Amino acid sequence: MAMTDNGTKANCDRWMDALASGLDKSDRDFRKHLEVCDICRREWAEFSSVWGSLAMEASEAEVPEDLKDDVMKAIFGPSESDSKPLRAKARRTFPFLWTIVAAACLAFGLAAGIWAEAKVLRGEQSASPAIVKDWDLHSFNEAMPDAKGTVSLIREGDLRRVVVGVSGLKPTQGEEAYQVWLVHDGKRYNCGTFRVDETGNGALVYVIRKPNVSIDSFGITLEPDDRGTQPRGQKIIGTNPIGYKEDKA
Amino acid sequence: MSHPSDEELMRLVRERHRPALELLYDRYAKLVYSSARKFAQDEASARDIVQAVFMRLWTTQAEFRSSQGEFVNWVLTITRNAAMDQIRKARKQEQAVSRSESEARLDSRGGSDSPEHSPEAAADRRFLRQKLLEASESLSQSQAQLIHLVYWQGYTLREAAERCGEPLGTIKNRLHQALKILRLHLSATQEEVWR
Repeated sequence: MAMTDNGTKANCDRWMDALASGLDKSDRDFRKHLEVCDICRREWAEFSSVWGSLAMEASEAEVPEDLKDDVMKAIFGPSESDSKPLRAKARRTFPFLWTIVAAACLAFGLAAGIWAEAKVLRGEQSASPAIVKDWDLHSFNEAMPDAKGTVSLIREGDLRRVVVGVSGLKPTQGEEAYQVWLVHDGKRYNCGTFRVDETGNGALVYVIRKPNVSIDSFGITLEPDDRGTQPRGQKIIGTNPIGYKEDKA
Repeated sequence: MSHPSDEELMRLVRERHRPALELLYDRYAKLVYSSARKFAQDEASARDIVQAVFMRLWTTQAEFRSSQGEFVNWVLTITRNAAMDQIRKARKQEQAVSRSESEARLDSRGGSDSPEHSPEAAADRRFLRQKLLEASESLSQSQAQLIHLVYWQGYTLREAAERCGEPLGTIKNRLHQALKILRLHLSATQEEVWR
């Protein structure tokens, strides 16, 4: 049979077998073959999207309402923290004081400098990110009783990534934005702002360039705009400062 | 990061962030479920397929990194593979299923499978689907039948050749031709939909 310069068949149709059997670039052997076979690479580029899009020929079906629960239960098991917001309890144990006194502002300014200028230590990078800590977020706001979320602190070498995911939040109006605050040594630090999509879900990632950060708690407020450096609006969801989960590291 | 891309969500998923998976579910459940219904033709099997897809998204180590259109493609490939697993298992367990040749033709009215009742359907997916159905009108009966055998019913090219009573080479050429025709009809459409 005719061979091309790099030894692959001149009429190689391995790409077609791959389409039929559902292989794609995540299959190592096939990916390596694409690197050396001009024909398969070209044909794959030409036809893989068309082939994939055949699925859309299916008529649209109404997704059963209970399917999401079933799927999530199957993947994660039955949920341990059925996050009914412990609003009353939270208000007693964690009084919500957003009045920032001048001294605190000054401290915030100094500390912000520390956060910003902390050197990223060169050293061993851990092979893969690991979740160091987890928090559940509960609603603190009666207008959004179903608001909830999670925060994970992820170690990636000497970085710490704060990953926030929320649901049940009302869409913002105009310039409004939700803002995430981290409490460290009793002081609040700005972790950034986000808005939610039409389903009320949102996410945010904040990087801390300091390996040994101790976090007391988190709060998320609804702010009039995304330019604030200290909380101005109402607290919507937050962590219970007592009893965050055990270290996973 | 107020409206994460699919790629960003997958990155969060790899970091074990459950809300990201739930957001992906909200975005793709209808597409996955609708295809699953056509592959599997009954609700229980379709539900199993959906579960397998999101389980796979949660556990995959593969890093997804590509242009926008290809994420949908990836999810649909996973969906088809989950369906194929199910189909092949069932096929081993029962007698050879003989489907009538008329069923094998792509149904251009889309009426023989799941009911199409969804007011919130994404307009661009409907548009793409319409284009697909138009494109398949250009296919010959044997081309359409072959696509159905291989894509929807999960037969290998060799098995399809046996069922059609034709040489493997002929079947491969036929599939190649069919793909070219579909590609021709869809090339402009895809750029519009997946930009």
